[in-house]
Amino acid sequence: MRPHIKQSLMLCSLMSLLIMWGCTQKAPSTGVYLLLDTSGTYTQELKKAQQIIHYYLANLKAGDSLAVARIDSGSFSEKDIVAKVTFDPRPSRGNEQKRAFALQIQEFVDTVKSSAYTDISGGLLLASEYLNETKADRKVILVFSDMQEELPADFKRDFSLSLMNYEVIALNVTKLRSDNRDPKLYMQRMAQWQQRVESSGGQWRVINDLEREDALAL
Amino acid sequence: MQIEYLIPGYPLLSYLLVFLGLNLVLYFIRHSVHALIDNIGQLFVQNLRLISKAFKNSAANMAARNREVLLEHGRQQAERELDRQFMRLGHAVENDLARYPTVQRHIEQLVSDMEDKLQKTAEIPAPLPEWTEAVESISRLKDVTKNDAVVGKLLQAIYEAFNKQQTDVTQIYRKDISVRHNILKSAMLTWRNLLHTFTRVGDNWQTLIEQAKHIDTQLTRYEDIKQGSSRAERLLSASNSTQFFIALIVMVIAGFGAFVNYNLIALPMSELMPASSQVAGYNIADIGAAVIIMLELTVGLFFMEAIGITRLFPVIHFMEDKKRMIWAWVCMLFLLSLCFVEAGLAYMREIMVEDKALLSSFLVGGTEAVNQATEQTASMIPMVGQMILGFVLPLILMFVAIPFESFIHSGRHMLAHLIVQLFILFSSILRSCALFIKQLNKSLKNIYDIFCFLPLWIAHLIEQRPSHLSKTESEITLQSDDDSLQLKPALQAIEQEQK
Repeated sequence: MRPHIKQSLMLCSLMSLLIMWGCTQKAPSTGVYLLLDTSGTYTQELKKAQQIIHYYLANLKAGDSLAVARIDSGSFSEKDIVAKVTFDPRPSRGNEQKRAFALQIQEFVDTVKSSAYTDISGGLLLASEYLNETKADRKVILVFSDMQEELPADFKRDFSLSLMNYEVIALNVTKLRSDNRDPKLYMQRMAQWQQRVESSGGQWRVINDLEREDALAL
Repeated sequence: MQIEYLIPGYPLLSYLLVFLGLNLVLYFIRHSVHALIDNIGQLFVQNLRLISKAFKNSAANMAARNREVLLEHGRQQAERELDRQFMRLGHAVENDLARYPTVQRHIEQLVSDMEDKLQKTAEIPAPLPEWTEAVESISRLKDVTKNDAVVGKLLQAIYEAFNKQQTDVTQIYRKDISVRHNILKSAMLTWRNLLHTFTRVGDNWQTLIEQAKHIDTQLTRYEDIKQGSSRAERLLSASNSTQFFIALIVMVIAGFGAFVNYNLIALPMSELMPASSQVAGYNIADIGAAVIIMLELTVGLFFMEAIGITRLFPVIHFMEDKKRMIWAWVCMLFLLSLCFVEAGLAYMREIMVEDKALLSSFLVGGTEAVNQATEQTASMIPMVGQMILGFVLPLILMFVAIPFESFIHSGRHMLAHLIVQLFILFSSILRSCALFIKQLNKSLKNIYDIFCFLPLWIAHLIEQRPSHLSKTESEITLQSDDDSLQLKPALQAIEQEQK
């Protein structure tokens, strides 16, 4: 082989390797944070929430993160995180993590106790912090609640959330008795949350029909 | 200022004045505008023609080069075919000649057997004893000694003895004849054997003659190719196109095979390589699976090259035979290793699929569903099938080297032919554009002349008059010239008379 051809081939190989190395990037990941309302009678809805968690467990891939936390009287606390996981790149290890996660959720659903108040804002703040740490490309906060916030007397939740590039999805927003009497209350409540999320830079969505798989799909 | 107010109160006159003014302006700049249009037109036309010519030249050069390559490739193929034919012929001749002494000995033996047998059949049976003549003489006595009882008895005894003797002799004769017939019958077998041997020798010669004829045809073709005749080029081109399409079809089929292979190992590769990294939007695991398949193809190519089936890499092809065989063994070793790796990955895939199914069961139905699923005895057939497929597919893909070689060689010619045709098309389009621009140029000038038709018409009228006058003057001059020509011989005659 002629020397200049040999040199060209070597240069091309080197360039290809450099390009390959330079082009190596992290696969786009998704971070999902599910807030479960445990106030009052809403705990009865947790079986549905468990199914949704199983759905996401089945669909999330290696490198994705999933966390489930409860909404109680004071949700801005790490103690409220029921389970969290970032799936291993190896599928076998990832499947083990999913099994363990499902068992943790099962245990939580079986032993959960109702809380007196509903601190949704605290939960959202905790969720945004967690998802920020995961450095996920797509951040989704699922709120499984009736979206009726009730805070203890000395709690302050008038801060502004930082939800830039976050998707906040309200799931299974049940209608309260008061909503039945005056649907305006429900509409106002939803509008307030939408306004709060969107003013924080996030996207707001409501999914009440949980049987629609396409709506739940990430 | 509006045009109709140019001459207040006379808008029509104003328009007419402007029209005339414009006509005059256009007339005065007519030559410059025509020159400008000509220049711009020439610029485009010449450049287009230049590019068209460049395309045409490139097409011609490429066609010539393509022809050379085609003929060279054809020559190489013809040489390979001739080599093979000569090798076959050599083997045939070697085998036949090696067996020739044996055949000769066999024929000689058969001939000598035949001679022996013929000699045996040539033996004359023993003649009747000579005393028959004596008996005949005694029998005549019957007539001399009439009614003699003793003689009669004697003669009767002689007669009986003679008859008995005759019968014995006939029997012996028949027996001899039978023996000879048997010898001749056994000679038939020898004849057949001899005939068979000769037929076999004849067949061998016929085969040799046919092979020699085939070689003659090949040689004629080879000479045609070497001389670069158009017939050879046509034949090679047709053959090349056929080879290209056949190779393409086989390559597409092999591509599907590679796709199946890829899907077989892509999932388990995610267990070995991090699935969370990507290169150019593709998972590292998927790229790893594709690389393994490409490696298999490459090793397969090297192996086929080493055993002399393909001739893609001259370095391998011109290796010493011993080194080439070592290289072939090394390639086969690598290929088998990759086959085992694939079989292992196929096994792992099945385990992963089962695990995924169990997880789905767990998520849907809990531990009870998992227990039910594990209790069900799963068939081993899919796993074994996948493992066999994982092992066999790389070996099958190895044979892609043969159509790949054809594809490369014929594809080069086809691609070059396509480029030549494209160049010719571009050249024609550009020439057509140049022609269009040339005609457009003329049309533009004519259109321009329409806008200044009035001054042009007047100029034409003015130009006609002096041209008529000048024509009259010139006619007079010509007439005077004609008269002088007519007078010239008369003047010459007067001069001669004077002399």
